[in-house]
Amino acid sequence: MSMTPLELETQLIERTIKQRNELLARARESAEKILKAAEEEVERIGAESERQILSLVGSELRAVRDRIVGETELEGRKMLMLSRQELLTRVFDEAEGRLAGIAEGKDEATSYDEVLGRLIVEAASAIGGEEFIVSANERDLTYLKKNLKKAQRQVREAIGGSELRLDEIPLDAMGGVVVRNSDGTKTYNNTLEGRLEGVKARIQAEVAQILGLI
Amino acid sequence: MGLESVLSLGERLQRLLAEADREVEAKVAEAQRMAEEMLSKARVDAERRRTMAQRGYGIEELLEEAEEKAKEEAEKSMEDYKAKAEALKEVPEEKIAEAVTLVLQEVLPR
Repeated sequence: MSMTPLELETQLIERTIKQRNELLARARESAEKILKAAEEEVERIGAESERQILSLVGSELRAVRDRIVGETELEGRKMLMLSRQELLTRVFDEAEGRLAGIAEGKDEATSYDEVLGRLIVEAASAIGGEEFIVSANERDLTYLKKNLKKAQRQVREAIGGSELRLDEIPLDAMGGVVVRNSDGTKTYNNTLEGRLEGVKARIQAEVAQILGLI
Repeated sequence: MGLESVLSLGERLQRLLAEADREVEAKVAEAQRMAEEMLSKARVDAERRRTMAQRGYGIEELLEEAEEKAKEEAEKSMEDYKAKAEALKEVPEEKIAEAVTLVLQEVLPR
């Protein structure tokens, strides 16, 4: 079936317009590609240039950074260390308070008399020998005067024949004892404060771990 | 409307396509010109900055920039430290009590 001239014209126009639109679309696409590639290249040139400049002046820039960030890091670490130390101090202060309570007989769960006896035995065992002089604070001295035989028995049971004497001069301590041998050549500080100080150094890491500091 | 008019229309449409071709060429050429201009400017700028840096000039800006960045980094770092220090104040009481108990166990003779 042949086409009428009008149909032919319409078909021709439509085909041409389609061709034209395709040409223009391809042109837009090409132009966009060219510009995109150029933008990428500009970016690459800029980055490369920055890299070269940084390698030229890198040490100066690093020095600036290290100075500023370094100072802050130092300050921050110090602040954190102080906070950790405060927390540890709180724990040891609370422990000291509890020890004072125990020494004053305020802690029902702990018998200070037994604690005192064990402290004397431990000190005497560490020093060794036959005769010991025990120093204690006024309160403990009063107790020990009344219970010297008991303490003596405890020491004998632990290390054999031993003689205990009490130093009349009261010790300035929260509790516990300082024990020395008769000629004064060996002394063992078994006061609660002394033991606490030793423990502080020994279990600080363990305490820190419980508190989640490390 | 006869064959003549169709042929005349054909010529007009061919012209339209030819114009479109020219338009395409112009668009692509313009894009290429713009791309060249961008690249040329970037290369010149990069070379200028590199040369200045080699001579030790123009790095004040870089130093200032580095200082600014470092200050921002330092500020962030300090915030982190403050947050960590603050978190230490939130240690549960039972943890404190557990630690105190451990200390007492170690101090008191067994």
